[in-house]
Amino acid sequence: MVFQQIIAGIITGSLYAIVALGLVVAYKVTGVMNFAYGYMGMISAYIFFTCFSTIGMNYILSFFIAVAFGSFVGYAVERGLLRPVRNISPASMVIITLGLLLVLEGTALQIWGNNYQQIPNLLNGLPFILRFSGSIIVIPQQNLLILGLVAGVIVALILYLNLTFQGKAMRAVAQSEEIAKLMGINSSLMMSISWIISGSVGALAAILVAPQTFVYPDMMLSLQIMGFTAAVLGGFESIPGSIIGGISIGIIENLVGTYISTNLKTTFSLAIIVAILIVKPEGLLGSTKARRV
Amino acid sequence: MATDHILEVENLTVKYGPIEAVRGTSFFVSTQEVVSILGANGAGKSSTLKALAGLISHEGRFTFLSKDISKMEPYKIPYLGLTLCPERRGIFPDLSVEDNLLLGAYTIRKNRNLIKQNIEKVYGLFERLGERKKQLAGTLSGGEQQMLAIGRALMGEPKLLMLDEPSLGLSPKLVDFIFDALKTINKSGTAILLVEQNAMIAMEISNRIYVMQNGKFAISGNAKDVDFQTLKMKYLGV
Repeated sequence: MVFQQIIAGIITGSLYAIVALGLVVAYKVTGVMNFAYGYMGMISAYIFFTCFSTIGMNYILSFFIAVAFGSFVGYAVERGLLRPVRNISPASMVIITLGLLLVLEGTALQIWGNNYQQIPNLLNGLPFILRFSGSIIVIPQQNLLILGLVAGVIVALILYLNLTFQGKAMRAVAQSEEIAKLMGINSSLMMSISWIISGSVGALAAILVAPQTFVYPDMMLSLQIMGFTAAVLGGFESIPGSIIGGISIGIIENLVGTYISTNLKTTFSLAIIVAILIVKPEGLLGSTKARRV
Repeated sequence: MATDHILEVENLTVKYGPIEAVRGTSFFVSTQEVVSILGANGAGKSSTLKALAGLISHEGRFTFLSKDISKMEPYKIPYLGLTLCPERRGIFPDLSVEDNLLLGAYTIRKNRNLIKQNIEKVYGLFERLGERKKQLAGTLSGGEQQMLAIGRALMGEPKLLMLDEPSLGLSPKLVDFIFDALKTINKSGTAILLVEQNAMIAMEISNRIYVMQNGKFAISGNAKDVDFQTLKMKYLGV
């Protein structure tokens, strides 16, 4: 029972982790905390729904179209909306992203209406059953797919940022845009790339969670809140921190839901996280140095 | 214009709001030369370098290797061979020493062999960087950070290296070491444009100097011909 809940927690947590990851990548490079993040992903889930269910395209093709659309949304938001006002205060920037959230929600409502739309799992085969010291653990195939894709994205991103010249240049821009320019790094291009990555990761998260939440304008609300919490728990500047933060929250939430109260699981988990942050305000893997706020 | 001028600056003006930090200065740097811009704090020296690197808005015209770069985007300038080594803290603290150096070679990133050679050259010049290549740059001492900033600026093989206050906050012994390294760099063919408050040490390695006061050049000439005591009393406020 406990193991079953921990495994379920890791799966939910892996979704929190990639949402946190997408938020942190954009934040580190451009300094913008994107409160519209989940809603940008929601649009891609609708694109998937339209391609797959309305037009009747192939599942994989619809998937790629929706993720590509997500990267385009990321690019367009940074280039068109945020870059022209780069020099305003971070607080105003947050308000702009909140405004964008409302615009995206309204747009989705206008185009697709308020109905809950269903999209199916990609993998519907028999679940995997593990027998483990007397207990039985059931893992649906779709959940293994989620875990595999999330792990793949995380590994690819870490390799890109640490091993490629462009990834290092992106980290340089995150540390100082001005000094990066002195090296010949096109900081504006790096900012675009960070939002393209962030946008496609957000779209991926939305498409993966959609079979459980259904597709509707506020489908990403809870995932976005938990993703933010995971990022904060991890220190908001650290990629490993986001992953650990996301998975811890997923596990805590599932255990609280099973052993304490299903209704209180979000409240309880957030209370535990507040308690952790009181003890360690910089987050699990955050640095104590002055940060860019 | 003489053909051996690699950098030619005409009427450079930098304004911060209504305040003019640099007021219509003109100067040049020739190939193989070491030129210093001296002056007290706030005289407009650093603003001059930042304007040349394209980091702050400015008026005036400057050409590098006969190419007008006054309106060029800042990230394109190092590709021409004009590199600014920023003030001491201008390294990437959360990246390793080696990654800092690699980023200095961003302009030649396609040429892996050349990068390898240049890294070895930098480690030859500053042995302590070689000993600490895996360490995060933010954990280095002040002197080592300055060495790293200079080493990183050399990675892209600049034709003219601009340095902003390389002696800032360093012990006299380290200052000597850094300036010896600058001499070596210059001997191997790189021209240097130096901005310094420490006029004495700068004059030792310079061919020519410009002394800046309130955004303008008060004197200029060969380093040998300028009397250091007069300079100190009249212009540097020390």
